[in-house]
Amino acid sequence: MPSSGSLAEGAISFMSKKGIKIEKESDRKLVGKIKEFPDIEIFFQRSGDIPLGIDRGMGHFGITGLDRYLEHCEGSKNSYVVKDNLKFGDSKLVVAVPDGWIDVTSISDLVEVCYEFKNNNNNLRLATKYPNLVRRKLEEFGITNVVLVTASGGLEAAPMIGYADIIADITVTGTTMKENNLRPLLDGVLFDSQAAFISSNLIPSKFKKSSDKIIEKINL
Amino acid sequence: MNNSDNKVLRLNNFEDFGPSRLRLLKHIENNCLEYLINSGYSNVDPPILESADLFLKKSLGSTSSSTYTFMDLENQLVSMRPDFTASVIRLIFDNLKKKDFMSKVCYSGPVFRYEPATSKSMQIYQVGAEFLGQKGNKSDLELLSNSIKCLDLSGVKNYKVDLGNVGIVREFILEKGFGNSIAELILNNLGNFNDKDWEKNLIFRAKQLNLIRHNNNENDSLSYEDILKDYEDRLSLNLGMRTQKDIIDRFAGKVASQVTTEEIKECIDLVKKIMNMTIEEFLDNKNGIKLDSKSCQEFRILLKNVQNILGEKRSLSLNFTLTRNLAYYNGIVFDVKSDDDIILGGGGRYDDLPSRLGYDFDQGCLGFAINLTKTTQIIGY
Repeated sequence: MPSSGSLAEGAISFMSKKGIKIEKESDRKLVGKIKEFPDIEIFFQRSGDIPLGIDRGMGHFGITGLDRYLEHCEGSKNSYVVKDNLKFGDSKLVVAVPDGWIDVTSISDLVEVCYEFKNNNNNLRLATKYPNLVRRKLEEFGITNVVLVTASGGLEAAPMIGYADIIADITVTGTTMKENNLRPLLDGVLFDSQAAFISSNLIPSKFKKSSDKIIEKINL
Repeated sequence: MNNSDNKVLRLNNFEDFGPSRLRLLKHIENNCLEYLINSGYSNVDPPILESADLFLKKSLGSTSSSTYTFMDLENQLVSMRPDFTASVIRLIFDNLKKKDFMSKVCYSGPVFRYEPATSKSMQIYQVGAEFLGQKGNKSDLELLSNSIKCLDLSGVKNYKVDLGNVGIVREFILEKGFGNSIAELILNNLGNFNDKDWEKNLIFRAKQLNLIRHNNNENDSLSYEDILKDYEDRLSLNLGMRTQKDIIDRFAGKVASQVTTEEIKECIDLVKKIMNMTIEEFLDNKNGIKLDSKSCQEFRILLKNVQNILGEKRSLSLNFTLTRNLAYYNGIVFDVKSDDDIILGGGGRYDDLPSRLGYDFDQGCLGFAINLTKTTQIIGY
């Protein structure tokens, strides 16, 4: 389960609506229990760490952002998405450019700007926390020649600091981007994300009864 | 707890090479290197780990999500090589400082790629060569004949060659009066040429890219000064590596260079005719399209020479849709495949790559690599 932020609150509430009441001794405690499933332990982790934890079989079920899951585990045989929209945790992965780039209004304008950079012996650099997801989405637009710079936070400052020219980041309102003189492109939404319920394919058979019950409740 | 629960397993998709497979791999590797060295290529061995920037610049990012990149213990962003080309070019320029030179080098070893969506091996053994310092047919033929020779030396009995030429397709589109944006759009989508809705998707993409104007009227022209005045506030913000002039010129050009839907359809029809050309039609220059440029004539000679090298038992196909999913090819592009279409190797010409990597060099650059992991798998061990 996500340990903090809106995903954490939403996840507890979602599970409760599905009839699975999670008990946690205190807010700081990172383990919890479910009374009716004594063989299940709950671990509270950063939502970004949950996809790989499930994919590697360290946990068996998880709630995380669909964007995070697809970034790390799309195509994996070790895990899968049980439910891809839990109706909370909405966010968008958006490409934004410096507002002064008045000639760039659509994501496709980036194709030409990439070549402008190439002709000047430079590379257009895009800072993101989601290099795999962004790469796949840009490839769908036929854009293959962008250098992705992986960064973990404060992306909006990347063009000002100079380590990237544009960014692709999760935004809800776009306010932070605007305050940092960045403008989302008109068709710049690469991905609409929500919270998702994911499962490992490596659940030992001794937990089959409980895991089948959990999936049944989640899908109700 | 059972003791076997503690054992550390091999990482997914990283293959072990047992004695018999390794013996076969080394045998092929040694044969290929010996042949290349005897043909005037110097054997080099760049490090597996390089600055991440080297591979980012090389691929313009197109392989960045499949490259193992991480911070090393000195906080430098480093990558495990996804192929040899960029490292070898760096090595050549770091070690051979003569300005006017021709350099031929060969290499072998593992490269590392992260491909989670497929079950492809992430550590791939390659043997290959890079050839710097010559443009034109002679070096193209040398590249292809060396690749074929290496495949022969590997012991693969049946294989075929797909050969295309990105440069000819681009030249053709530009000659017809279409701009670089249209050429890039088409080249970037050649890999999907056989899709049912290729043409429809291309026109849709062109609309998304604002390459199509909505009416047939002549475009209004905007002066530099007008644009600067109208957008003064925004143009005075941080523009990164772009200059006001870059932005204003493109803004004005964007409006002026759009084409109509009819014009792009005309371009697509012409490109389709080239894509559907058989090798015989291209060689005879009989397809309703006259392909008479110098590069077309040279390519015909190359095709005939490669046909002669391959003989009758192994086939050569003309495949103008071949781009190897990499943006940097600018001339010939080829794949060598097994009978059941497993790619065993490939390569092509990428003359602009040294300058993209920061070296002042424009005298030709091309290379090939044979995938020894796949080759040993095909041969059996």
